[in-house]
Parts: sequence; structure tokens; C-alpha cells
Amino acid sequence: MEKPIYNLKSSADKLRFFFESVGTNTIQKAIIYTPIEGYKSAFELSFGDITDDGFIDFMNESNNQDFEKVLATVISTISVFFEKYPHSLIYFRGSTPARTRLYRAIIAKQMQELKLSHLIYGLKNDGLVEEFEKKHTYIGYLIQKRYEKEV
Amino acid sequence: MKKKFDFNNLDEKLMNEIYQKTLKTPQYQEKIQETNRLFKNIQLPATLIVK
Repeated sequence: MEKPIYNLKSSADKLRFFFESVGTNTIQKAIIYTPIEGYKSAFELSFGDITDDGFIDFMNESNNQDFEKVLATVISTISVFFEKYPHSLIYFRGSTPARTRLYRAIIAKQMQELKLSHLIYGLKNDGLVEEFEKKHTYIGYLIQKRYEKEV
Repeated sequence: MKKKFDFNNLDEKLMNEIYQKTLKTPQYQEKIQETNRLFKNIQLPATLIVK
């Protein structure tokens, strides 16, 4: 069953997405995909709150009581991104170690479904990249759409 | 909470303004530099085709 997500607006290049989180407060948020230097098609996925000064704050913890919906919204942009950039690699990590661990738990929970259509890797703090293992500790995660038939 | 823009009227120009402002923040610069540094030193598995 698909999880509820917020209505998104995106830039024409599908590298920036915006939505309003409606929980205790209404908070405007943005999701951005930033090219990683030295790679033709690797991008870092980041999201955060838009501040009063009009920039994105990636560290703010808004605690708006809608975390699952916010996360589902962020995840929904991945398929839109891959439609536009089909063979790209997405890298993401939490803004804090606790958030990175939280993402590991979420990936682990969704792994059976995720791996049917995506390759998921974990980046270890010694720079090694390995296929995602739910019990391993990572500093970030890599995801790419799977095109081959084998699983 | 004060809204920073009218979501219904959010257009390409405003999206770009927000992005451009974000690019200049130390927080974003630090984050991107850290990622770029990290990716200079990692070896991606052959199954991940990115170059």
C-alpha cells in the first residue's frame, strides 16, 4: 500500500523539489539533488527546512509530528529523479549520526521490496562501499535503479 | 508559523532563488565539500556504473 505523501512542486530539471509539511506547524521544505564532483552522474540527496531568510537548513529538526509522511515524500522524489536521470547514483546520509542510523533502519525494513528495483549499498567510515547489510554501520547510503533482471 | 512563499505560486524563478541562497551558506558548502572529499577516496563497486 502506498504511503501518503505531500504535494510536490519540482524544478524543470527535477533536481529541486518543494513541499509543505503540515503537522503541528506548516513548514516549507525542500529536497535537492546536488552533483558530486568528479562524477558524471552521481548526486547527493539532501532535504531540509526553508528558513525565514529563504535558504535551506539541512540541520534543523522541526519535529512536526509528520516524519513518516515527510520521509515518504522525500523517497517519492527518487523515482521522479531516476526517470530523468536513469543511470545515476544517489548518495544520502543523515545530517547527524542518529539520523543516518534511522535511515539504515528504514532501508532495512523496506529492503525486500527495495532490492527488486534498486541496488542499495552502504558506505563505511573507512571508505569501503558494500552491499547494504542491515547490521552494519554506515556513514551514508548509495542507491541506483536496477536494470538487469536478476535479483 | 510564517510561510516563506506562497506554495501555490512557487515558480522556477523562486525555486532557483532559494537554491542560489542555499549554495552560498557555509552549512551547504561544508556539506558538499565533505561529500566531494569522500567520493575522491572511495572505490565504487563495479556494479554501480556512474562515471
